[in-house]
Amino acid sequence: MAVSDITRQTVDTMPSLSFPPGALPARTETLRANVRAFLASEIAGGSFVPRCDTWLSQHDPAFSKKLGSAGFLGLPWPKEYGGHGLSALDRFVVVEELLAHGAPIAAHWVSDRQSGPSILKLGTEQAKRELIPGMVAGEIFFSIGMSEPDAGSDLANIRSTATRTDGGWLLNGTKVWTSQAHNNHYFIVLVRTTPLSETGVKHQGMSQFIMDLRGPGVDIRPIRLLSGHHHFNEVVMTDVFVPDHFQLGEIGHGWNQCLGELAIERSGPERYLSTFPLLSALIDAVGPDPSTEAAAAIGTLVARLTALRRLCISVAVSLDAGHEPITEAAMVKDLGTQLEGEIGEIARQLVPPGNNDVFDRLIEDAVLSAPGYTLRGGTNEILRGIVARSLGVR
Amino acid sequence: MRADDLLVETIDRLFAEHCTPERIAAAEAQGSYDHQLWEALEENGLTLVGVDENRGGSGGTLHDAAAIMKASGYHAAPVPLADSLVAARLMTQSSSKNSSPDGGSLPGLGGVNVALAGRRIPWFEQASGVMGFSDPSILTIERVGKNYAGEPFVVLASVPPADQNVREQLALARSIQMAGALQRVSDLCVQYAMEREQFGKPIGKQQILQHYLAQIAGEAVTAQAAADNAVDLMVVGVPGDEVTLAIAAAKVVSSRAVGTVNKLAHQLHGAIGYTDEHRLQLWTRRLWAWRDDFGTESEWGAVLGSALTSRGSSALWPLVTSWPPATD
Repeated sequence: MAVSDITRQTVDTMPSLSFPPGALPARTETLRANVRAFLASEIAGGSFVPRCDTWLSQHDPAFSKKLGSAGFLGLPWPKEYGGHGLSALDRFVVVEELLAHGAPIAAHWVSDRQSGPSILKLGTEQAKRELIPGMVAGEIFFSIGMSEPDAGSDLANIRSTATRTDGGWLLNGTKVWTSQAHNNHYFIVLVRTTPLSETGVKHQGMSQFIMDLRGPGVDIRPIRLLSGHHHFNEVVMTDVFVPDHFQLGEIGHGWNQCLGELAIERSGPERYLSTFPLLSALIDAVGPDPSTEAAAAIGTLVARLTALRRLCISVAVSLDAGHEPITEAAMVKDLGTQLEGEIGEIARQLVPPGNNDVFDRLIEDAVLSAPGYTLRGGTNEILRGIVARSLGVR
Repeated sequence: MRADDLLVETIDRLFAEHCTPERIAAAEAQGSYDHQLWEALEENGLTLVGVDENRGGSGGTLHDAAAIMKASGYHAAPVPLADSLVAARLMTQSSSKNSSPDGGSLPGLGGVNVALAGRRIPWFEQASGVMGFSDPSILTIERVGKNYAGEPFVVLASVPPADQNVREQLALARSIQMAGALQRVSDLCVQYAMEREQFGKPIGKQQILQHYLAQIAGEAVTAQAAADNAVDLMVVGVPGDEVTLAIAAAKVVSSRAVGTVNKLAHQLHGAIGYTDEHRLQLWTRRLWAWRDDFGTESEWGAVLGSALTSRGSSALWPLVTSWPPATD
């Protein structure tokens, strides 16, 4: 074939965009004003000092309880179980305000983002009645029980098991990178209920359970981060009893249930706002009359942030409409987590450490947490693979 | 808020029919635009979309005009359509301003219009109407030239008093065209990665190239989002300089994307993509040219950044959360 023939082959129609135009409904503006007022008063009252990466590292049960009392948790959940009967877009607004203000939200984070929705969708009636009201109140907190020593990016390689016993299941195995397990009450854990030798297929035979992290047979060991901070843990399960009413969804459907959880986990504003408090502080640190280069660097970061926010809202609107924008969520997370890291890189060059203690601490937060941005919730390499598959090349 | 589906379909079909690599190359060789395509666009009223019907336009919304600009970028349409749409709209809007020759219906409306926004003016000699200067006949041309994509421009001997609004609108038009062209480069890369075989399999099976494709697609989508924010804010009509800042953001994101996308796209295409036989260059050359038109990413980044630093940190988050505007 001649070169000119190759080049003449066409893709001459524009594909429809996978990001439908999405904007937040105007009704959420009142809620936003309420959250802002609440946060302004909390900051003024010394309840917290804005930090970076607070959704994983700043665990403050008292603050979470205040949020619960103020009606800012469990927003999309049915009133029947104590929720507020609003939508995921209302939660989006509350969550982005909390993140942007650097509030300490790690305690209720996983519970409010994914455990609650999973339990409401898949849990038993008893589990809903027992757990959801406390989650809405900001009193019951969850961690994530997915990764294992041999199952990181290759999550389907898990080995932990659940075997049948009277009135429930006995869980054995080890989970790792379990953020805040030492502070939280439960995790939703993915285990094998049928041995791999019987299914012969890696993605089958898995199930999910709600497990009490404070029960007998649970050994929680700290894994300290390079910063010295402790939010990671190893959770060793030895014959941990889980009652039948804490079975989540159907036996054998654990893998697909997990994927649904991941779509929610990957799509939120925490995937580009982890270092926003630093960006905000940077604006004051450079002052009102920065060099053209400094202004351009800051303008570029904010330009990218506003574009990503639009994409993130598009994904949220799509999720709220009942779609599963798994690829779009992966793409936004890939782009957003890169921006989070670059905010730290730009900030440390424009206002080098040593000038301002408060600002220095934000840079330290941002730089020392940076490896996590592009790892947690699926590495950027895995995410790009997901995008490539949707493009048709994988 | 989105463009009319039927309009998008129509324009897409029209461009696909006319914008063959041969026609694009011919227009470039002549140093002009494709007159046959322009006539087809005029017949369909597509050169005056976004201009009120009672001012001699075709009606339609700003979103419709933006969709046409995007399609023109996606198809590398060899016509000054985006510039003309901007000029026509500004002419009919600005009857109260002296930047418009005579206000109201204007010579050149329906032809190719050009808006002055600095010394280097794309498509100036091809235009039948000029916006942004009271008497175009006194403008002195210092030299003529072509950009990287062979699109003609002139450099004026003196800088006419530029209306900042004109420059902004043209910067946004380029951002939208770039979003379309970036999308096309993304599509071409996917297609090539599936067709081209090395080591006994399509090169798209190589993980590193899959990652390039994901990055390219991400940059294209982000550029589109930034442009959409600006268009939405213009349509809603926000007060103050927020539209200017959103346009600045759009030009930053799209111009910046070009560096990444063109580099990866050419790397992925290998030697063939670097030749004039392959059509990839129809888009990458345009992108290299357009990213510099009406302000680079540094210039617009500084516009946005200085506005932010002069207002202080407390104004940042309220600004971020007002884009895109909320809907009912």
